[in-house]
Amino acid sequence: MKWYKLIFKQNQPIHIGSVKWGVINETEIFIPGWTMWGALTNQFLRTIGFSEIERAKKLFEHITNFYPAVECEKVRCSNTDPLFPKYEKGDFYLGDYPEEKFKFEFVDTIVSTAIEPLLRSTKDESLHEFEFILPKSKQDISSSKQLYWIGLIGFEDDVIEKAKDFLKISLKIYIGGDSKYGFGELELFSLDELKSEGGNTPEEVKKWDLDEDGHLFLDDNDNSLILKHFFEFSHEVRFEGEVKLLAEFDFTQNNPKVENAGYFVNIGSQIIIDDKNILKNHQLFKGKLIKNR
Amino acid sequence: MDKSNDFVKEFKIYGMATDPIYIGTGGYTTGRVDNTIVRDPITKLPKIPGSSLAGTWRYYATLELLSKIKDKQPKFSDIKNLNGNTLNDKIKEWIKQNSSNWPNNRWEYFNGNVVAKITCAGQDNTPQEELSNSPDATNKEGKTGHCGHCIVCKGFGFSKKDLSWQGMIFFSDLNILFFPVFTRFGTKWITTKEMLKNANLYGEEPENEQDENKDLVCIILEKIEDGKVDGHINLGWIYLPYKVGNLSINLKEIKIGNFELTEDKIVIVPESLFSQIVNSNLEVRTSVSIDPITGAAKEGALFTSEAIPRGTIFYGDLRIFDRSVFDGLSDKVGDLPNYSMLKNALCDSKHFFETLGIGGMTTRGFGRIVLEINDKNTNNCDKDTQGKSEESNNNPNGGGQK
Repeated sequence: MKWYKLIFKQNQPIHIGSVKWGVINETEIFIPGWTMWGALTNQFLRTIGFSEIERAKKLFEHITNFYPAVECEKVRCSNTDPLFPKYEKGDFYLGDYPEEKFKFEFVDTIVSTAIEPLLRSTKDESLHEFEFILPKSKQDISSSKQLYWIGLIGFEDDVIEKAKDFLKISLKIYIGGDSKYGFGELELFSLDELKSEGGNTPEEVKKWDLDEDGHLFLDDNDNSLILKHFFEFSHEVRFEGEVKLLAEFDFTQNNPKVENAGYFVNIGSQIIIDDKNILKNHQLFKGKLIKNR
Repeated sequence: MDKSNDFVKEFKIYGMATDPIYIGTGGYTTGRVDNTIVRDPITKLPKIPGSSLAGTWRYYATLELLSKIKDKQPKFSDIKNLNGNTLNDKIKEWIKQNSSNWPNNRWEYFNGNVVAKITCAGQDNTPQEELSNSPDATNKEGKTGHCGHCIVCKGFGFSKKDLSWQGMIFFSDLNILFFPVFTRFGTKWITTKEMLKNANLYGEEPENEQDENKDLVCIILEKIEDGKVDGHINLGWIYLPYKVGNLSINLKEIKIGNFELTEDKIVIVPESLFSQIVNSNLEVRTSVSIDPITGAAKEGALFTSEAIPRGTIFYGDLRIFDRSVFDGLSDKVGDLPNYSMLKNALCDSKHFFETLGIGGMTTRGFGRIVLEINDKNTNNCDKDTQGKSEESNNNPNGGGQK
């Protein structure tokens, strides 16, 4: 498998649906792998036509979650690391940003209602508020705190050419909610092939705790691991953190159908390494490490 | 990526407010203003959100469509009784039998428009209905919802029990591009280099951008004062130095209705001051409710509202996907309009923005705006040049899902 590091520049606000509290829709503060997979697959199909839908679904599936980076200069952008998730004293962090601080600086909300077309008044019970991640810091507009989104993608050898034709600098993809109304534009800013040296897994791939085939990579000395990917829950694995129920939906109908669902250990949680073989038996699919079956 | 150009067309939208425009935030109060307008959270600049533009345009497209075809549409029961496995087949059968009544290949005669209704605008009232029942299905209050077949539903999207269709037209926010400010030399329109660059109206990298930002100097394009190359100008209450700069800006593109912006009316201000100048020159009105019995002001009913002033020029973009991209997606979607039909639908209905307007308080002298849609090759909504290259197939419903 060949790995690429993708860096997207955020051009528009993005809303990644998370929890819904009454009329308020919260956003996630990272881009889950399956969301990025969906956006890439959708854009890919829009450039070649939807007739190849089943084959295209496989193309981008070995993809990590995407995490933000606040600074990314053009020259040394490829060396930039994103803000990886972690927990500290029970609070969720992205890099050194506690979730609250990140939201304070980069997240805003809009309140909106639907309009009754005949009366041109607001429609009853349609008030809603949703959060979105801004492309730049709202605290200090003079500083150049532009958000970038960084992640890895692995391609099987037989699809590399096809993928390279599509993934070009300045490619625009549209991610998350309300993409029809000025939300969600990301622009491919940097694309680096991560070359292996002497047959070893590239260092950058190891940094994401992955080996060349997209399985979990563990250093010999490690006795714990902070998760950058969701990890399929099982009783064989000890961890500290949170468990989340993740479901992938087929959104082609009004009541989305669950395609698959399961419990996963949340990103940022700490896995206690007991049996390396059990852990290494997990492979990356759309931001989730899933046990080989 | 070249192939993608066949499937999506990008258009620019320019707009000029002919009334103050009020798009409220719905309840926030800041400073001295009670009824505040929507702003960009980073720059604090007022804007017209893409969702407001899309929602209003959907309504106007429906109005325009129905005004053109309302005498020609059959009763839904007539279609239901025809032969055919699906509603799409029945609609086609009806058109076949009534081809004189459903005459040509214009956007208003797109197949599915046979079952279009005014409730195709606005939010759907019957989202839990099957697509095949949706044109005449009603909710508890007896209201119909999106029909799921007409050009409005296909273009702007719909969601039914068995199918969600995102739509084929994508809107962006309309952001301020030129903002009118009163000065001692008359009204001038302010903008910034960054905004001109974003709108592709100005491509050259300025040589001493840093210095200008630091020194807070405005640039004007023509001499305005006794042949002087520099001086001072007031932009509202802010008094700033200016100098005459030799920049080429492509203003030809911005012809909105009969209004043309000329170089002598433009002041380019430093990026860091733009938001300040705009926000201190918004239209702010103080109003009071009147007690109908006494005819005097009502106690406790004084309120202030703000709006984007008339004369403001906006810029945004629009992406329209062609039906050919969706080939093979799902048989259920049925026929789809191509982009020249969708563009014509937008072009033919945009005149409602000039009368009914956008945003709130449209019955009180707010909201009217003139919009222009431009693309690279054909200017505005000029029908003579449009469609020839895009529409090789004379049948408007010929593509779609086979």
